[in-house]
Amino acid sequence: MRSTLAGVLTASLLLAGCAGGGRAETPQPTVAASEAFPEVQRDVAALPGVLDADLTYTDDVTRGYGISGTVTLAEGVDAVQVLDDVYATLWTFQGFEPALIRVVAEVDGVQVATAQDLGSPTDGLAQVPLRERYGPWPGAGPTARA
Amino acid sequence: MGDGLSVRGGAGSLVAEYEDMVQVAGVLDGVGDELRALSGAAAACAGDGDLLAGGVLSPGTLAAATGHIVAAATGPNGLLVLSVRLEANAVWVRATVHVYEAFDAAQAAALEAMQDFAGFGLGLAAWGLAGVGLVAVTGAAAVAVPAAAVAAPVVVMAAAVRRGGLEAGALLSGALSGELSWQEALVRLHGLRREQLIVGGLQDVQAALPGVGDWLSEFGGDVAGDLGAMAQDTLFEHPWITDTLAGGAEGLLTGLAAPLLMTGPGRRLLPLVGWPPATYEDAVASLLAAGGTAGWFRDGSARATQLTAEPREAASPDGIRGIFLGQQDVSAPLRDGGARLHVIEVPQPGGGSAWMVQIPGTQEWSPEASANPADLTTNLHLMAQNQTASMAAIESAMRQAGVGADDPVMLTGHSQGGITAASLASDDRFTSRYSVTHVVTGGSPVARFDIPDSVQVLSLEHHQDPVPRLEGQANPDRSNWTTVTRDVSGSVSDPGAAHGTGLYAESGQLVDGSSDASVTAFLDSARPFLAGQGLVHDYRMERR
Repeated sequence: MRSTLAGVLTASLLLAGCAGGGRAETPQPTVAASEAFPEVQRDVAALPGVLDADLTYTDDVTRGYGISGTVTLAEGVDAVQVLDDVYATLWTFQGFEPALIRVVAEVDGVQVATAQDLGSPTDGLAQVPLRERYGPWPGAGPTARA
Repeated sequence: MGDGLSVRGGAGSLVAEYEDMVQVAGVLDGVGDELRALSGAAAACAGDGDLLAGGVLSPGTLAAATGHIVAAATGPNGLLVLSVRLEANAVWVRATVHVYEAFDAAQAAALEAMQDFAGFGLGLAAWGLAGVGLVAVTGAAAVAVPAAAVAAPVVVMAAAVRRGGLEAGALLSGALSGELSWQEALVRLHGLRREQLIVGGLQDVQAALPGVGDWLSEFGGDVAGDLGAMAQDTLFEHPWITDTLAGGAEGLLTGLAAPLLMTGPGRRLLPLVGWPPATYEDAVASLLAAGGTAGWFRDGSARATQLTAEPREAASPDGIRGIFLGQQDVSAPLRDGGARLHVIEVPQPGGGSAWMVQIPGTQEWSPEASANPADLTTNLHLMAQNQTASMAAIESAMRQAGVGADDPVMLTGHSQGGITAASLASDDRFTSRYSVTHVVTGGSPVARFDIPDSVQVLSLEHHQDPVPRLEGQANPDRSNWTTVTRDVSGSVSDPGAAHGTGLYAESGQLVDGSSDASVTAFLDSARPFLAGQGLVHDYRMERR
């Protein structure tokens, strides 16, 4: 009977659940996301032209693995260039390989740049374009890219 | 389309054209009826008293006039013949539509029958293959790994054979004899919690367990890892496999359990689990019944309680992207238990309110029902099309928020949330109390729900996301049901990522910018809900 139930349980994933989860072709994370995230957030906030970084991450099966939020930029900076650096920095995050990063840049509460300015059809960059733009995960950051 | 979206159903669909054709047939019919009535009236003119009286003065004119009237009424090009032609055209149009529809239905039925047959064969084959050693098992896995039901025994078998130790052998022996479940064997082998096994998938099992990688290296290979990666790669690159396996769920489960249920003590389970299942819903009900014998999947009841005393003014969704960003907000379990539910009140310019109810996806994966109703138990009951505790809690929250019986309601959900939305929208009792006008789902298997024509549905699905395919059939091609599919192979590279709420929000942004007729018709109809500002009523849903 236990075998039946086990079969039942596993088959139930086929029938009714969110069976997503594992991520193939991906280097395994070496640091817990909760430990790595404050560090990458500090790195973003320390980028030239960035005044503040309000970022969060999700790392579960249903919501997916992603980083989102807003960076506040100083007036007069090249917003698109700084946002590009922000994405490159977030691609160095070691907690997991993000499936999607969505960060918008603001100056004084006004949106000044999104991923669309980096060539994305949306205001985020997904895993494959992130790899294409910043190299294999985890990336080396904006300095290496430059 | 240049945005990578493909659209099926909705106001711009072929089915809408079928419906238009039937409407045109009705018009032709009606005009035919009127013409026939006119022809009768015209023919009667030929016998009109005044005309006949005038004929005394000019018999030739009378004869000519009568001839023209009769010709106009009943002649070869007359009203009567025209009416018959119009009605014949109406019949032909209707017949054509029926033939098209019958052909579509026959194709769907044939496909499902084939899937059931294939599923049964695969289920039986899984047991046979388990006995012929690692090579055969690995080969079988190449075909069957997407089915978790097959993958678990395969991995245990592969692990046991490769390890070659007494412990693994004993576990394998226990699993084969039925004393131990395959999951239990795997769990013990790796010291892994069952929930992690369920949630994570095989690749994450490796990641979650320190030592598993070493263990795999120790024995000179990575068969289990390969199988996990292969499963994901295969599923991502060939999403139709999920369709086939889920579409043949009845057959698959019958085949898997036949050797167990038809022999020995297993036979005693037959009356309990309703075997063999005849339909998809029966198959899920059988799972529920079988799990119930172990105390699993007991849904019970649930309640909704306010998280804040007053609703808060906040930005609310202004499009499909915003809806899925909102789904992210409700997708994490509450720290002190339960699941978050948003009931968003959108005041209307002319008075009254429209309401958007954002329902969370799956958050708990234990087979034992937890305090959080956004769990595996609810998934199974929803797919069996049972009433669930979470549905009752949502209704309770709507009542507490003050949703009126005539207020328009949009139900939205990602994953399980979408299934719940579809279930509520197709529940006569619920729709008799609330005016559900719109449903938005993302990554949800909802094709089997009988949502009324009066409800506008938009289902967003990623081509590589296995979850919306779990019921094994495509969403209905109906004028009120728009299914938008996006190929995300250029965005992510595994099925887990393809299911993420964030990626659905990104796809929602593309939907918002779409010029497809069905999409724009849906968005136009949904404007009252998408004001971008509203009052958010926060609730906690808890199972009791």
